[in-house]
Amino acid sequence: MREYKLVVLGSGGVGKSALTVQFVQGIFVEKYDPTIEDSYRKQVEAENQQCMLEILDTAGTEQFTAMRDLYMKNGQGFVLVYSITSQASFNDLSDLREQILRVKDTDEVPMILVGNKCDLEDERIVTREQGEQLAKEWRSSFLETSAKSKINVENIFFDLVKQINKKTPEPKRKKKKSSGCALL
Amino acid sequence: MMCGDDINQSINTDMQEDTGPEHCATSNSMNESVKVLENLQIKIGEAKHLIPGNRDTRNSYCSVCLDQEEIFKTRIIEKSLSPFFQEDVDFDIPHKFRLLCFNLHDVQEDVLVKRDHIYAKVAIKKTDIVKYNAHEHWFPLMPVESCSKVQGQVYIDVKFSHYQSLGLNVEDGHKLTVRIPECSGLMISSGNCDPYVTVSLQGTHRNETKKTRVRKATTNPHFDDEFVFELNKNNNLRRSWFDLTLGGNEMKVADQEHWTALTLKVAVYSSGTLGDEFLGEVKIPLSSLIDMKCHAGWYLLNARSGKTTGNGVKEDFGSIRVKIVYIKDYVFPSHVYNELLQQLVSSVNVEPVSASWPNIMSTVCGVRNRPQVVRSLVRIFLHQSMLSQLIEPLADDEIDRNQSPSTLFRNSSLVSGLIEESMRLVGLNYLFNILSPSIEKIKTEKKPCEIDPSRLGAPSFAMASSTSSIDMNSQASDQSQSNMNNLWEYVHQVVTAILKSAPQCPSLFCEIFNGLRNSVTKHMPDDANTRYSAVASFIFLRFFAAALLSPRQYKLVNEDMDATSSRTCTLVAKIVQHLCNKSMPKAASTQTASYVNTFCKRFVTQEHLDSIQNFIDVISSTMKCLDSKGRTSSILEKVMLKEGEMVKRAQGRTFLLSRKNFKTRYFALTNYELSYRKNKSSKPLCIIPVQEIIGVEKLQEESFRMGYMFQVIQPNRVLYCKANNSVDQKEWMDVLLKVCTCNRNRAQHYHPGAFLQGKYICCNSTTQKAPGCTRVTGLPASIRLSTDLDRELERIYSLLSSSVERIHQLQEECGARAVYVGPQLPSSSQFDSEESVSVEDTDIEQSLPPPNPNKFDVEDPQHTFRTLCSMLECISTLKELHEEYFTASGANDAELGTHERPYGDT
Ligand SMILES: Nc1nc2c(ncn2[C@@H]2O[C@H](COP(=O)(O)OP(=O)(O)OP(=O)(O)O)[C@@H](O)[C@H]2O)c(=O)[nH]1
Ligand SMILES: [Mg+2]
Repeated sequence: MREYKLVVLGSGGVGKSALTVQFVQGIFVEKYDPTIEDSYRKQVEAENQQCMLEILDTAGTEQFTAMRDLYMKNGQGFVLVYSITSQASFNDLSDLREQILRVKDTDEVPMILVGNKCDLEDERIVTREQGEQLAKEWRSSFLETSAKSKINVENIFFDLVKQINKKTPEPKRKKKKSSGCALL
Repeated sequence: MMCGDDINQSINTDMQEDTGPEHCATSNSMNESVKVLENLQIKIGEAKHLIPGNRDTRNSYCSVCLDQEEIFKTRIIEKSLSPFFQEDVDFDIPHKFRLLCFNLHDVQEDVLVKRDHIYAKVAIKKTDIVKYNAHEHWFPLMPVESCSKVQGQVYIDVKFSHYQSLGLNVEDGHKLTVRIPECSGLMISSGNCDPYVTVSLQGTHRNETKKTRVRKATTNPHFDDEFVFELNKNNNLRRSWFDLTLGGNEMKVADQEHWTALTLKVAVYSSGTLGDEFLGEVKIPLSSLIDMKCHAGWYLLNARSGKTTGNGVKEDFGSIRVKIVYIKDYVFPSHVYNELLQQLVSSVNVEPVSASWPNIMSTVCGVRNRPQVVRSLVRIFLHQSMLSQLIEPLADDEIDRNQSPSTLFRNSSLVSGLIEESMRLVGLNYLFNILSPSIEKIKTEKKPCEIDPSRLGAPSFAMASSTSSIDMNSQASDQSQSNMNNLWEYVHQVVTAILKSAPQCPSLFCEIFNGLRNSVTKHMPDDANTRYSAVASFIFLRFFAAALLSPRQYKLVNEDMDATSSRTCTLVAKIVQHLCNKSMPKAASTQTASYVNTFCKRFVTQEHLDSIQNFIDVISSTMKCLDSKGRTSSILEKVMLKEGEMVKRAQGRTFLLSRKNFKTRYFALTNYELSYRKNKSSKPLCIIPVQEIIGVEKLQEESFRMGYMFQVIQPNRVLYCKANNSVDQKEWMDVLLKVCTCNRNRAQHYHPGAFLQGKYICCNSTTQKAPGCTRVTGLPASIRLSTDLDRELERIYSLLSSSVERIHQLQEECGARAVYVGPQLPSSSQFDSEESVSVEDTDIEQSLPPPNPNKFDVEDPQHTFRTLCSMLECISTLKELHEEYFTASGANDAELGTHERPYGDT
């Protein structure tokens, strides 16, 4: 079974944990502790294949950013979350993305931009267009989600798996194939 | 080799003045009191694609050097060709330098020997740093062949003179005088460097070489030899032979050759028993010096010409990810900043808060510069004893604007930045007392504490999925039981220490927390939780938990910890944070299934939670505040100013000759005393109250033949210390000077040399109490005292002056709004500094079509406008002064031929 290392990043309080827990355990809790770092594993079927997702839920708190580089180095796909009720959380993401690209030293990293808390339409500050625009700029996918109302939560992770598969197709059953090649 | 043009050009500009290595460019009195302070902040990320060593891998660490001097090194990452360092260092630059180098060392430890050699490096010229400034960058590594011994510079001083020979045939002649006053930064090979220099005059038919004496054990030798070459030698054969027999120098004389075709060669060697070693050379064609009487300057040493190393093929030797932030400040005398300080300080009372300086600064300087703004603001207001007056209104404003209690202070903002920085600045000593015993214990015991089932017993995924036998299961659960117990032991110790510390909590913390609590209670009277969680999100999340996660950054440990200990600390941090959340009056009923929950259910009682709540009550209560109001501010509390290992000489030894009196000690300087001990956690061996430090001066290197030494002068004795490098030396001296500046009885004179074998080596006085022979260095006390404040104010100026454009934009916006809505604008529109501005930030950075150009939300156009005007006024006054200084002091760039920019430096 192929493993996927996914990392959830974004400012504090945007709902990274809420999304992750909603996806992994199927529940929404009103109040979460600020995260320090949590990892989850979940087996899913994506693209007609069993996959094991290892999801790292990171800290939004500024102090803990020292560990970010390591997450970025080890992660294969990234979920960049902001809250549609906070412009600041949206703006913070550009630096985060830049940092990912820098650490990976490439321009193409599987990534998805996520505008969470879309159930709070009344408090919306970041428009959907702004999100779409940014995603276009980044050439990444984009989703508006709600951990509370269970909107688009699973799609985040499926989309990422798809991106990773596309970028690095699974190394085919190693030993046999390679020896076959050698014969040729 | 260099070309002649290069030299000619530069010599025209600086030939006459023989300023020597120390170059000083000041002209009037104002300029003399301008201090140029340079700072480097370096983050070493990781390296990749390294070339393996002889064991197919590397045990690497990375060192940071200014020229050849090592300033910092990372820990060793074993067995990796892509080591992940992730370490930071931040220091004031102590001296001029040319190259900033990152060296990758390989460490191989055999049973007997430990070998440490540099295998790859990046050298960045100081002048090039700006290109990479403040941006992370992958630098390609260059291999370091062990055969190349060439590095460093040599100072060459040449003079041409005319003479008339008094022989029979009276004839004019030319004479060349060469001096090599010093070399610097030579390569130390095979353990030692005993350098000497040869000076030769070479032509097709002539090769005349002279050499200096050998200097022992130094990479920065000084020479006083002077060499004279006759240039018209071929006309004067006889005398030449005469010379030869006298001087014993080697010489070949032959056919006619005009002297301008000759080349001056200066070569450096290290003398050794097994033959001398070549350390580099410089060749100067005399034709390039034709029109000059004299010429002097630093030259870069070259490898032997003819032996070119680069074969043109670009190979990949790996790369290293590094971020360099270089800041250069021109700090003027205090009075220059009076107006700025005045404006800044008085603006904390401005209504509405959004129109105050701090808020507007954070707006116009942008999110990326916020850490710098925060840093300077906190230091300035702390200096003015007004930190809580700065924070309170800003925090109140943020609480007022907050819509949802569950996300209050979760995001980073100006306020959270200010409070964090304040806690770090004032609370490190407090933190150390609480956490260091536990961390020491975790480090030494290394008890297994992993309680995350996914990391326990089944490290690889394959094992976890395979149906494990019952045997394995029970084993794993035994393991997890004992791990839980181990972890609880540590958690319990930490929590107990925290709870007991309430009375020691710095009064500044209490003032700030009390302010937070009052604001929350005022704005959310019905919310019982948030008044606790607001305080907790600082003291627990951003202080205790943050420190447990990166103990090195909080000075709890000197080196990064091993993986096990640091994982244990992370777990402790998680549990402590969780406990804190559970202790809220209306804690969330946690339904999420997590091992942290399971753990807490098992060990944590209601009593624990109650006492945490009580702790928060105490540190944010008015009681504690009132109690501390008597003590004017945080200044009276003991603050750790600097600590670390140094080598010291036994004090008060008058006649003992032995050098063995040098011992490594752990030094700690607080605002009360300087002390040293065997190691960080042992009892002090000696305590010197700051009142007894009457001077701090460098110590002549010759005293003990050791660099980086300085002396702490006390009324009756002197403590000699050796710092680890020049950065360390400067930091110690600066901070020691600062604490003793107020001492009335400061020494006016001192001895630059040590008292050795019954006399001072500087002045030969034979009594130890002999009055000093040299006037103390440094600036008048009045200037020095406020250096820090001036420096921060200068930072504020330079941050603002680089954002002038945005200040104007905001001003326009204010104007537009005032006209549009009329003067009596109800304060309704929302103002959020981060929001509006950073939109612009991203625009600039990413050339996004701006969704909302010029969108600055202005709450109160009039007041904001007024603040902006005073800001611009301050900036323009200061700007004038700066420009005046620049024109007066000439170019900022180092001139060619100086140590930072030697000849031959392409
Ligand atoms: N209405 C609504 N609230 C949400 C949603 N997602 C999260 N929240 C709330 O937002 C708050 C913060 O959520 P978290 O998941 O803890 O945020 P986080 O990004 O993990 O924060 P850190 O761990 O501190 O970085 C909680 O009170 C959640 O209940 C959502 O989709 N809709
Ligand atoms: Mg979280």
